[in-house]
Amino acid sequence: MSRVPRYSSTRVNVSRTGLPQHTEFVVRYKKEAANRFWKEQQTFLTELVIDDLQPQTTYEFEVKPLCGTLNGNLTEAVKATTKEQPATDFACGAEPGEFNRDSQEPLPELKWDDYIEAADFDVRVIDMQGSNGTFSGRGLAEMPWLKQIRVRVEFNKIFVNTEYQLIRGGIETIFNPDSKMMVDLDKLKDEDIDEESDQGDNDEEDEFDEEDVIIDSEVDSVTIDESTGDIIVVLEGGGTEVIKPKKDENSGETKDTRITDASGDTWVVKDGKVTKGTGDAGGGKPGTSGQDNLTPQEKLILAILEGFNSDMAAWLAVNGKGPLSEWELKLLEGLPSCLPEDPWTVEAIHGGSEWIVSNTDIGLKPFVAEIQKNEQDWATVSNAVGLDSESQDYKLAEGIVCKYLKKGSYSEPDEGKNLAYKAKFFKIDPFLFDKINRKPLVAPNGKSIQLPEGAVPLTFYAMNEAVAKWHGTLRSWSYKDIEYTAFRAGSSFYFYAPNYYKVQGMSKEDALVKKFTDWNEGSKEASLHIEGYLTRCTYFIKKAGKEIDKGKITTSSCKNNCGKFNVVSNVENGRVKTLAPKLQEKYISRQGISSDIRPKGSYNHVIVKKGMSEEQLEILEEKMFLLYKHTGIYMAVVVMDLENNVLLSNNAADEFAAKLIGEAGLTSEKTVVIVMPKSRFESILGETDQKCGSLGIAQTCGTHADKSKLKANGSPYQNILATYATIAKPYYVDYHFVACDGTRLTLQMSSNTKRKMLPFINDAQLFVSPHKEIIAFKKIEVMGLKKMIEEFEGSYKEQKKNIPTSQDNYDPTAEAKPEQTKQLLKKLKVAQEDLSRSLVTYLEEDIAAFMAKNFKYWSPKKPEVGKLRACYMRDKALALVEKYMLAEMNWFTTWEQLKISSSTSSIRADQLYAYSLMTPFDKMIYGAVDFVGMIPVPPFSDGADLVGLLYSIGRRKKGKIAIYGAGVPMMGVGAAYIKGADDVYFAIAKKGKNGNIEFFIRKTTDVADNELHVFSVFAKNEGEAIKVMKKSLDFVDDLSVKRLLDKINGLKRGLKTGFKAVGAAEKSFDGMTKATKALLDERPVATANKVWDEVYSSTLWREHLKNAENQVDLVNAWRVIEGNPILRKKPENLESISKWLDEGIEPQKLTDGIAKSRSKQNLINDLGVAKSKLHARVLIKDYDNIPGVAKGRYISNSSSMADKADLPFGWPSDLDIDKGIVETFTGKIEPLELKPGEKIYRVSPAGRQSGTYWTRTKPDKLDDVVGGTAVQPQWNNFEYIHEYVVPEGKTIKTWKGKTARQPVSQTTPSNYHLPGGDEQLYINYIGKQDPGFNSLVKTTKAEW
Amino acid sequence: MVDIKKLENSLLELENFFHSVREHSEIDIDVESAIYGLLTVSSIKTSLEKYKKKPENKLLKQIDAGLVSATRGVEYFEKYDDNKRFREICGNIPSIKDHIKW
Repeated sequence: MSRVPRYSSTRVNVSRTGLPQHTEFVVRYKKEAANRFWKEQQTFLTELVIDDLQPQTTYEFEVKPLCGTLNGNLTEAVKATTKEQPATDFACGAEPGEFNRDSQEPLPELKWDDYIEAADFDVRVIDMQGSNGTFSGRGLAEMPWLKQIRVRVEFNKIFVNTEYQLIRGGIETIFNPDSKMMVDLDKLKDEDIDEESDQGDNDEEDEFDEEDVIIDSEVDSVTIDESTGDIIVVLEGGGTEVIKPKKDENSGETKDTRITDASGDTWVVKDGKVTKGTGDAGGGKPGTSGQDNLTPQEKLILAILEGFNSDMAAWLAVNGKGPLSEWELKLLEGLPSCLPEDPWTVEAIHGGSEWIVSNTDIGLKPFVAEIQKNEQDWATVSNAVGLDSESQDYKLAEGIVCKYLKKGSYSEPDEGKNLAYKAKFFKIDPFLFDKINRKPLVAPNGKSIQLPEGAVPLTFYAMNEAVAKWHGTLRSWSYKDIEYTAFRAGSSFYFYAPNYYKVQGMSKEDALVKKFTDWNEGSKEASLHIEGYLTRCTYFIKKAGKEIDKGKITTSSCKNNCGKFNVVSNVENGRVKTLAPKLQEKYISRQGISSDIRPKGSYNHVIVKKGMSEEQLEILEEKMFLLYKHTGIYMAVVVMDLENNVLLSNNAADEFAAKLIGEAGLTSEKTVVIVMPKSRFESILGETDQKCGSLGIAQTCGTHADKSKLKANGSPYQNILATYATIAKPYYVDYHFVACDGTRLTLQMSSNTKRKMLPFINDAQLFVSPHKEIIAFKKIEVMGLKKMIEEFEGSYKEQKKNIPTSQDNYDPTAEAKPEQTKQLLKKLKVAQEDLSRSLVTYLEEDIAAFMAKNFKYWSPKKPEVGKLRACYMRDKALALVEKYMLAEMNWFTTWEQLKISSSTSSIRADQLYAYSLMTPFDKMIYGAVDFVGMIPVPPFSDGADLVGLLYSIGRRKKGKIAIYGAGVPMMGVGAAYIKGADDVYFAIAKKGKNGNIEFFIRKTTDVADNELHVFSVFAKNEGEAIKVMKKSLDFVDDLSVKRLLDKINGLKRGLKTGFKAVGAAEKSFDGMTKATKALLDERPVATANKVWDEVYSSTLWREHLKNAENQVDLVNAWRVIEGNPILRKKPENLESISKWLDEGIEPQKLTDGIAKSRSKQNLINDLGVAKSKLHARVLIKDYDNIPGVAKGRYISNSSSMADKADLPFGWPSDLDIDKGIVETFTGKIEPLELKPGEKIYRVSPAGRQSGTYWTRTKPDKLDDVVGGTAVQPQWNNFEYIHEYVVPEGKTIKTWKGKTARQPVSQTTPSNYHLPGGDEQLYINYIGKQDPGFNSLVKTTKAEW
Repeated sequence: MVDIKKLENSLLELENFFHSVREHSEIDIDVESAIYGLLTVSSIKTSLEKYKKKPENKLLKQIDAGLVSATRGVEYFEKYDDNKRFREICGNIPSIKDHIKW
């Protein structure tokens, strides 16, 4: 039975009378009031002093004996209360009080953890020798005046009595000069003195122990790039700055860097670690702050988290073990109630919670802030402050904290943005394994799984939500030369073995993937395991692979399997089989050509099976991403490759989508995955280096209908359409953002279900991404290289044919062609990779800026009304947007409209058309009009006119043929306009009698045949429509409208021909049906692709290539900016940089200069106003390329007034020179009177010939001016040389001497200087000395 | 010891002068010179403020380099009166080279 004697205010001695077989025992204890917070200590002895207790506090103690590895039962809890804190009258320096030292009986034995009383101090013995009262050793002495902190002490041959009192001898503290608690007061004093006396004795090169970097923006985070050691500063609002840590010139060691942002916040980078301070230059203790800084609520939450941590650690320690002892069962019970009994989740949350506790500054406060957002939760937490842990409010507070912990309201900052990115997109959970071949495979719930043949036995300990732990845990292994990695995606487990097939002697490049799913509790095994392979080809996949395990899971080669992007798929007899069919049940819908809505599960899945052009896909991707940003609906697009004719089955696509969602951590209700084919895919992610893969995790789109609308519409497709309709926020397409006000249309859509009009945008503001140009140029570069390769190859083949057999006519260059091609191919590869990287990087930057609402990031266009509805716009950029919008919308509308036209659509007709206004004939013709009109290539869009003509005939309204025909191509909405509802008005144009174009508002049904529909207005009444129209007309291109009106007249003239064509159609509806069916097959798409191929392979690229050739400097400027992302914020930076590249600054020097600059934008600003190329070189510190500059720090050698001769008698006083001028000389300064015929020279900018500094020697190179006469490039652009010959009858009074040294620049200290040393003349008022000066001076442009 | 007060007064005088030229001169190249002068004065003042808070040799070097730019860099003004005034003000600027540890 244990006994717990009271011992002191902070410690108790626990002793136990155990059985002989007990080898050790564990004491666990906690405050009586606490329901958790058990602490434990273990000892082999029968007594244990527990000494970290609080005064006057009741504790519960339990003891468990151990017999080797066998655990005994816990004893019943014993309570004990520590003593009161004794009132101390300790005074530093005061003599100790009187002590009773009567006992002189020597203590026979001193043991570990015994306490010795030494005057006022209690000393705990931690090491000892001796016996019979005399002991030597070490201990810990409690300092009563320092909150009982313990100080290491040692004692030598002290005498201790049986009362454990020190009777003789001394106990001395052990001095540790390196202790963090040590402050050398003497040294401190000296330093103060040094600091005072050191004034004026410092230097910029050698005085910094710490580098100060000022960032003129607010900083979001600071991290260190481990590979380069660079400091990465992530700015709030997007963008980063890279700082190269400075090194000590002598030691070569990296100096500490202190970064201060615009808010005064500081980060100190020291010893490879980043510490955030709060305006205090010194920073604080890394990652933590004292609890004194915490609010009561924060302290409470911290205490709760600490409790949880203990509980979770205990739970994890015994989870999965068995059989469990009673004590272990109790540990299991301690799990916070809100957490699921899932070891992955618990371990992940435990990791997060521990991190918060140990990083209060960066972990706790954001966590608390999350709780604070919910007023009710915060009130609960606040109510619990100061309460006992058993109280109801306290328990409620625990529940709140647990809730947020479970939500993952914390983030480990170790890897900053990368981690966040990783967590977002590739959250595949790793598994720990241990003891290969010794333990059976264990499922997450601790049960054994029957091993499949060839599988490696493992024990899984997953870490859900803790991607950060990738890098700190064991997750890969090798077995019989096969490298395995285990990971989890969703609810399935995977083994991944990249070299499996190779080891088996097979030539397959693919990785083996074994999948375990559907854990069967009854059979204790995974009911299904699937073997497949993983081919990763595209950039994104590669990126994903790298993200997953820094290349571990990446296979870069695709070779024979290009295009088969099947992930984890089952291959049997060379055919892809369906995977995990049950997973389909999770999908709420699968909307495609043939799939109905299936409202089950937790997310949406769309499979589309017709090809898209790459342009459409690009738009779609971007659109999807913004859609997510606005609505929280994740739109992931899986693109299938049609070219290789590998089309996944629905189920396989489902599986892929499921995996994608699982890996991306998007398993929420707001997820839509669209699987769609792609007819050509090179540019979906830019020019990839291999034609394979075609996976895109799409990210796109503008405002979107919410989930309820999604369901109501019954079609994600409808949602996509609605995206246009409800745009109230920026819309991103082709590197443009369009901010629009779509309020009006939103209202219409919700109020009239029969009038689901296609999108309409009244007010638009356009922004252009600063990346648009560079991406265009990079694409051009790739295209150009491809074309060159083609030409070389063609030329080579041609020459090979013509290589003569005779030696005389042999052309050696013919053989050289393949080598040139190889070189070009290398260049092409580099360019393609560069483009791919840029596409991803820029998109991320654009989006980051967008998310931060940093509209200054883009180059804005002025707000313009109705612009996006105008079919003929003056702004080319907007026309481009229109083109893309058109193309994109065409795709989504085409098939459904065709189905509507053939009555096979699942979408209600009234969702698109006002059928009440239609005749039966309309239904079909509308579909045809829409379809034909929406193919964005000339043959088809032109054909829309013909279909419009047919329509007008069908409606017996031949007079309106031009309207119907010409209206179709407008914005791709074709017939939808013509079928317009009551609230739609047309802004129409017609030629007046005098030939001028006049604009009017008309109801759709009132448009006359000589009027052209220019754009539409959605308005409540005509008055409102007129207002909108007037605002919009400013942006309508009158000339284009005029041309179109002329076209209409041309159409009129062609009516006769048209009637003939239509006549045949009128005779037979069958004929029309056939025509429609013909349009339904893939031929139009193929034709469209062909046309696009032609366009891109001929006209466009030639045009762009020509532009690129003419703007090499601009492209290079982009490359400079590309390396310094912060500079992309200002489009004008491009101009500034390209200017100096054009002047001859080397791009690499410019890049380096910018990279080294502490304030990059300031540098660019300075470059923008630099006086000359030399000045620009000074700014970028390219001193080696500045003529005349000498190495070495500037040390003044200026003359003093004593070096100057007196003003000669008879010279006017205003010709004298002052101290400032004297200091531009070195050595003696003498007066000199120039005589007639003598020549003097001067170099200056235009118009500065009357200056004061001259030479008698004509400078023939820049070195003479910059170096010899020490003229700083910031003073002079060295553009002109002036020559003056003293005329007859005149003399010029000057001061002569050698030029003093000068620094290279006023603002950029360096180890270079201008040496001076050449003779210079100083001449005051030369124009007054010779009134004819201006006519005599000869100025020539310098040709340096 | 650097006479900060005197230096500040000189800078103020120089700044006022440059302002005056910038605002009133009709000679473009003089206006350009004045603008450059103002930039250098601003830079000197920044360094001087730092120096007042914590005297450091490097700051003196920066101030000295700035003064050279404001005088040697600006060099002269086309307009006689302005140039005369400029030379007067420059002549009154205390030299700090002797206080710098090179």
